[in-house]
Amino acid sequence: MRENRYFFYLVILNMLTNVVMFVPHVLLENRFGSGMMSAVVAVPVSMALLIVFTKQIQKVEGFTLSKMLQATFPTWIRVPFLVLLSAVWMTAGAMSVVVYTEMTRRFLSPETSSLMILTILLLLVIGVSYLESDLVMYGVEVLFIFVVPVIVFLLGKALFSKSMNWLEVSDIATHLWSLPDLKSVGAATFLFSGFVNMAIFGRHFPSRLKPLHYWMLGVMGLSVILTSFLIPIGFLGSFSVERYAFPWMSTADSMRMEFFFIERVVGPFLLLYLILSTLCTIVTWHVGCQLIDSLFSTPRKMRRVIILAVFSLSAVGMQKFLLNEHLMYRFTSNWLVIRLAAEFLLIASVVYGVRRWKKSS
Amino acid sequence: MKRRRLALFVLLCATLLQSGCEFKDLDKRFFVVSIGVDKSKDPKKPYHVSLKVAIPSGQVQMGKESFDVYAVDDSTISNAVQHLKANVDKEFDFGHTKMLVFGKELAEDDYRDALDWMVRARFLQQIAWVGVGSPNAEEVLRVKPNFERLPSNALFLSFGQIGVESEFTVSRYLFDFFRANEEPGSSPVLPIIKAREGHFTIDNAYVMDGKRAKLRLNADETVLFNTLVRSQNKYEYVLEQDGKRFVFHADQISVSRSLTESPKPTATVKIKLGGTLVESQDQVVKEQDLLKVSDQLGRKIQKDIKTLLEKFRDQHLDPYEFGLYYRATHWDDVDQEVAAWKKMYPSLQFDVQVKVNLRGSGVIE
Repeated sequence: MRENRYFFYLVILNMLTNVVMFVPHVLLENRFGSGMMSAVVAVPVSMALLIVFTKQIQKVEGFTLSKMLQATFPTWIRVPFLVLLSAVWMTAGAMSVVVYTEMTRRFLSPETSSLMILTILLLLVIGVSYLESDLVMYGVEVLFIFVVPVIVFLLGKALFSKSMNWLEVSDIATHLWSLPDLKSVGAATFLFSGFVNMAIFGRHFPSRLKPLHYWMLGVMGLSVILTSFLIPIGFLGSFSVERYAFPWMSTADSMRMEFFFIERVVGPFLLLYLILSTLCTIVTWHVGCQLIDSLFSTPRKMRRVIILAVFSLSAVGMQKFLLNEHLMYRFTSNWLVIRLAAEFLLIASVVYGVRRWKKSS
Repeated sequence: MKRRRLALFVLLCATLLQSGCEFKDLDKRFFVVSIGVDKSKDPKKPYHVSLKVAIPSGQVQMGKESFDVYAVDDSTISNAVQHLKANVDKEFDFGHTKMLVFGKELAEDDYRDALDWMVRARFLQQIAWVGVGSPNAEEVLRVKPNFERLPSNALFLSFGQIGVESEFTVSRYLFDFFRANEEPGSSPVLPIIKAREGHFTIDNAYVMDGKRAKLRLNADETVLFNTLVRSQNKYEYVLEQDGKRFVFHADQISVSRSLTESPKPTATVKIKLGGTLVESQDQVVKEQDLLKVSDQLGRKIQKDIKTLLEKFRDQHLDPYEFGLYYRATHWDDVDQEVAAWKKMYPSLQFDVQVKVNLRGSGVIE
């Protein structure tokens, strides 16, 4: 596996946090229309982006986004472009913690103030994100070893559960033939977009992906997106699923472990997503602050902490502004589309930049 | 290095603030194990809400459990629950509420608001069991079975099939009841819990039409319905023939269904039953009798199930979810599917095929 496994961690992390980022909500909203088709179409679209991106960065030894931009683009494009990218990354991380805070507050501790939960999480994120890329990545690896078996267990539990109604699932599956729409595709491609984090992590963890790896990622992505879209339908029903504010939380609450020392799955589920959504924030904010840090000639730890503090303040602001899950949902679903556009822009610039860079050097 | 230690110390001190989370200890809480919602006689306060509160004891022993039931009339269910807090000295905790009971009168009138409250309340778990209490919900909550170790545990065991497995019992989780209630191609079914002196009887069921209980299934019909949805794995059927009776015990069951639209809309239900005879009032069962008996059993079960399905159809109820099956096998637009099914269902014909494999006649011939 060599270093390739780090690339997989980044991609899988995004695949698993899709629940917090309202990806299933967007698809569930269009479940009788474009949802199913968009989920399927998203796989080739984002695999194409992923393949182009990784092929390009493999061409250059020790690729970093900022070095490439410095070599090939004028400053007046480079600076706003990097600030824009890091803003997109910042929003990803911020939404992940803000939504998670709302979920725990709703289902675990309604009496605790959301600001308190958010502050504690943000302190943790700042304390980790400013570190060097390799340290962050090793942390991600350690937590993955804990989290992934539990998730596989829960998914297996859901799929083989007697409460899973396969008729409801096939009701939705038979609405495959309709045109995909931008919003749903934007949401579904989020699952794969972990690869853009390689823009920063690529320096420490260069990957050499073979066709087999691409196939693995594609199959994995398709199965994750189908499970996160169809399992809530199987449990909650194709009509009533839209009545739930957080369909995945209610799905977890509908699972029962008869012979375990706790019966309800909500507890472990929330704990799992505590780890996953914080990790997602740590990784995305790490990338975001490294991008801004790279605008200056020498990297400094203190500067990164300050950038992260600014990020945190905007996360707190977001929490104040996005009062309920409807506002959060509207904001996030629009952001998911903007993210897809930003991803296209990034890859276009990488394709162009790498070609010019190789020519000049 | 020193500065880092100081920072760590400050962070550790920050955890002291955490005690402000308004957390209440276990001994300051009352665990509500069941909730009953009845219709009250007062039209201004339509809900009669009863809570069964477990009183913890040091020793867990059969029949030695203690609990209390508090009940009040109020205009809304949440108000009633808040109002009931005035009766006790500890905070209610709904983390162990696993039984939700609708009163019979409420279920026969309109249960939608009560159901909405149950699903909406974040503190109630989705895997709570739902049932209809007869004569009313409060009576069911007040039953104190002699064999119970923990309050309401008898009901949890009956529905969860960890304890008894009865072919007469229909078990429904809250989320599944809500699903079937919202689903246009389905009618939810709830068990009827009859309160008796010192125990419960759960052998009937109600089929709901999305608003109220519409059709009551008697014990035999409940067994047949359970056979269709395969909620249990053992069933017994009686065959009466020339005044003599046979009892067939089935332990291998497979059910499949299919729909055809032309020439006439027909639903085909294929049932395969495998099992043995467990009681014969004809004394001796010969080898040649076995074939004959299984043939007649098949015909009898076939007739009963067909009658039951036709009864559902005539009442515009669909607890076996043919409507959902129709949508699951058609590729049209959803509104079109729902409308087409609504038009088709009243004239649907049933073709029930039952195959009985009689594997033997028990220990003796």
